[in-house]
Amino acid sequence: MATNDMGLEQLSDRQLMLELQDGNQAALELLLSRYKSKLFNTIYRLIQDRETAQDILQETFLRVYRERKSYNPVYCFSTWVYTIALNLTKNEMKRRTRWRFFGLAPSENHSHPVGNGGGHLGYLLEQAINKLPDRYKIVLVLRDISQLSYEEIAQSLRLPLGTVKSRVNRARLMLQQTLKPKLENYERLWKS
Amino acid sequence: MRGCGRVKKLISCYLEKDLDPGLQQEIAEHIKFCSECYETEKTLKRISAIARDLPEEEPSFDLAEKVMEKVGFANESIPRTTRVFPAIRRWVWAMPATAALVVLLFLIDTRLNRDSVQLMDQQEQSISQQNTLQDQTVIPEGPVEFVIDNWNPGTRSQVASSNQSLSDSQMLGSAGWPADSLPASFRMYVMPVAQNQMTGTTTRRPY
Repeated sequence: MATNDMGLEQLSDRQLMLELQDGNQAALELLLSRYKSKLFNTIYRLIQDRETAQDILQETFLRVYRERKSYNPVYCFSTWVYTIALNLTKNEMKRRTRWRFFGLAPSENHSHPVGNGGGHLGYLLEQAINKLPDRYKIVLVLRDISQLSYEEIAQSLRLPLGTVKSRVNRARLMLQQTLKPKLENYERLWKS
Repeated sequence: MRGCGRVKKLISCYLEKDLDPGLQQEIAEHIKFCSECYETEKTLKRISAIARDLPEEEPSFDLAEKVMEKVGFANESIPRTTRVFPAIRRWVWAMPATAALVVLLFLIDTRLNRDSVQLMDQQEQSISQQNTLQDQTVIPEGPVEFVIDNWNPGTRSQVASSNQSLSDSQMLGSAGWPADSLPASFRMYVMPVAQNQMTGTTTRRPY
């Protein structure tokens, strides 16, 4: 199923995976260009470290390539690739939790809070998200930042739909409790 | 206000308009009259807006290049899943097995050493016990020796009378005194002479 590069761009993700299974590496490059920003953004919001997020993203696409034969075209490619990326991210988060337990937390390369487009409120939100337990943080980032549907989240994390919905709700309420006084202070200062 | 707990459980679905129209309306009515739930809804909407405004982080521009380079490398080299891993997997048992063998040998060696040390200890102990027994064993040697000391006259006469039943050599042989030249008063100890077979020293021990 050899298709030239111009033709590849018209193909869906599933068709590109079939191309990749047939040995067309250009299909991987195209999939990478379609998903790299979305995936990097998600991984970065969960890990808060650019270098590590970059490494995880690279490893994700290497696995897509290595495991290309095991991809079943019945399933959505985005769910499959998110599952790979999230598994790697969760492993990294667990590793970091372990290191933190022993007082050896790896350095986190936060982007500068002011002037990164998100401003001070964005910085406050990132801080509050980082303080959430991992299980809530993951679903919240996937839903509110990566804008995935509940079904996509449930499939990527292999969790029941109801569990995902209740975790998202719980995470939002936890964030609301943390951020409410900070937001009120900020608005008071802004008005004065 | 009643029903706040239920509203909090459903507020995410309410904000995303993911509820039945009846339930959606019911929660909207509740929020209108409940200041706490109203505040919660307001803050959640604000947080959602901030989250949407967060800038999209971009990976480095050479990411695709790096990945494709690694893919090319993976393609040229032996595929990990098919050859390298089975090769490693074939020998992966060797390390723990060797470690287990070393530990086993060490334990056996330690056990043997301990047994031999115990055996040696037992032997030493038995030898020392024999020595102690030999030390404690007093073997009378030759005639009984009498050491005569000054004592009271009553005893002297008593001894003198008892001497009559014994021969001179038995009574005073080693003291070298004749029976009729006993001192005026004396104390008499009957002490067998013993010789240690090991050291050869002669000792006197009172009965």
